[in-house]
Amino acid sequence: MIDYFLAAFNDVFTVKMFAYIALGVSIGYLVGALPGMNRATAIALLIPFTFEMPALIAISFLIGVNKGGAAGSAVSAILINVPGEPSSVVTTIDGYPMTLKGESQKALKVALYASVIGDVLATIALIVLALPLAKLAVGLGPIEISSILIFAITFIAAVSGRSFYKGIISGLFGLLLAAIGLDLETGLPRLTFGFIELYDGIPLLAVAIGTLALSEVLVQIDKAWRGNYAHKVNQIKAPSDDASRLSMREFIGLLPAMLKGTFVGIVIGILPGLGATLASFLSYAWVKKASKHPEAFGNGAPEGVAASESADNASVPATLVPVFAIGLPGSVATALLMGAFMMHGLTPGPFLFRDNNELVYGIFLGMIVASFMLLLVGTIGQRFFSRVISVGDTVILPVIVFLCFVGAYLEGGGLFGVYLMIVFAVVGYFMKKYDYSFVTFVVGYVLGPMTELSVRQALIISDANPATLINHPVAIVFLLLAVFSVWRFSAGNRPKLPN
Amino acid sequence: MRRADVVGSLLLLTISLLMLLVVIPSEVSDGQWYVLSPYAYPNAICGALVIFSVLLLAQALFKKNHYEPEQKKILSLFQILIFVLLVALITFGVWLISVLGVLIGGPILIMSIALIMGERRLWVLLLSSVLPVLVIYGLAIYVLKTPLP
Repeated sequence: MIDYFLAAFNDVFTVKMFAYIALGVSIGYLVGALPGMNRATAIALLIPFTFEMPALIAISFLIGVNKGGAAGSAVSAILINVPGEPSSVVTTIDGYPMTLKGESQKALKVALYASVIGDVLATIALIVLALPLAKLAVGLGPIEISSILIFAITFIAAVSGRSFYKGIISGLFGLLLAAIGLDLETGLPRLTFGFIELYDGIPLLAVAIGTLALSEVLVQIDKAWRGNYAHKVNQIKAPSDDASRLSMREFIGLLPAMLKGTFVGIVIGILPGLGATLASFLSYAWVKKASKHPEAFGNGAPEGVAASESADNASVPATLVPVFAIGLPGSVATALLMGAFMMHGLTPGPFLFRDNNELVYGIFLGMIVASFMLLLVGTIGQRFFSRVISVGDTVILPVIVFLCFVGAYLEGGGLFGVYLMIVFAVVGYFMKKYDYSFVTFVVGYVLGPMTELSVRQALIISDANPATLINHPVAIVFLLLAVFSVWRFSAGNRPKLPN
Repeated sequence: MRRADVVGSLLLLTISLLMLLVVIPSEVSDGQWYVLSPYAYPNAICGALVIFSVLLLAQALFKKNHYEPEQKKILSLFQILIFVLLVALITFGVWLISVLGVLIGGPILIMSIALIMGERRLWVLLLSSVLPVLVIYGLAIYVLKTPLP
């Protein structure tokens, strides 16, 4: 492994690479800090700008955006009690009371250090776990892969959103969209409605930008109109010098909470579909339960901020473990990153280690650089990012609409792609309003071609005879897990999340 | 959300049945195949969509205790009007860009959305509409070397 890192060293430790990672982390931080905008949106909008970049820089840049977004979301959660992302909801519980006590800068520092620690440790976990898991995955055939994909989509549908049925419908809708294009076997058009532009399938960015970015802008404009979004920046009590400081003693006292959060973030992040929000909730609950002063939680306890932010950021690299190991995205952001991999001619999964070894370790090194860049950008830009959240929606949202146009246009679909994006924005708007899972939809769409291919291969190998499954115990296990997910999470059997 | 689920599941059921009975038979080209008919995969997905739409409908109709007390309305008529207006505005903006080009159409699109959102400061309108368009245009043309309309 050391040899691979040394080989990648020269590619990573360049001014250009550092500059792009810093840019990615800064953009992510900025987007994360803006309430309502999230890192998946930023990734979808920025993918077209990476087309001209070498794959290593492009992927590291986008991962930088992802990491920055996770850390930046704490800013608005702490300062104005509006989380930049759902995963920072927990941060508001203690972060905002700290702000009201005049300790906003201290809360931001705790959030930043917790994010960096969670991020670094989870990146190391990714490096340690991805290769052994990928080695295991190499031995899997199409039958096993088909069953893993069926399980993944079922499980993600089961755990994301409030309704299992809506989750599975979203996933099926994603799979159906991915079926548009040329048939794998006959090579003839399928569901293209006479549009030559659809022969290669629906462009990923038209789907992603439409359903994630533009639909979100429509929701935010709607909110802004109805005044649900009043920023309270002016009401924040000015921090005193003492309240801004985080002493070494305080920092050491917060380490157990950060480590617990990191552990939860890694475990939850690796499992597809569970996401950073659940990780930060569980981490907060654990740290509160273990605390000698649980009554302080909710009234501005720094441990609460440390627990939720470390879990949030730890889940970012952890969600990449299944991507590198078996090519399975577990969240919207990782599904988009997987799309970016494919646009740069890379196929995520176990063979990535075999075919692009140096690149993979280059990405790992880039991720470590991004972790430290997070510390740098967060420390230097803390006051700047605190001010950014006061920029009005009337400035940001119209510009994002224009960026959506450019993003969809640049992917190559031209104006056709742009109009498709608008259609998906409408679809995404109603999905958001009526609680149809986005994660399952995007994951279903990204995994669609792989699912179809492996199902076809499985049918050829097995001669379409279900009895051959007996020779594939791994497939049986995953199919049983899929059935269990359906039973456990379908109406009536859904377990309740902890308070 | 219960009423919304009833309407949503009925809509999904209709779309899935339409796909199964009308769209897939007419929009999938038949050809020489050996393992899986070109209809099989989309048919399987739409079949599953029909099943889960029916299950969602059944849940919404018969499992009342599954739902929280009914909210007033998920989307008011006013919200729907705003939404339609915005989508129409964005679509018109895209058409305008395709006719006038990004450098003229882009600022008009940004400015009109900002105006609708209530922004009235002239300098903010000018700065926020012209500057991003110039930066992104420059980036696309000179860095990405991709022409924009």
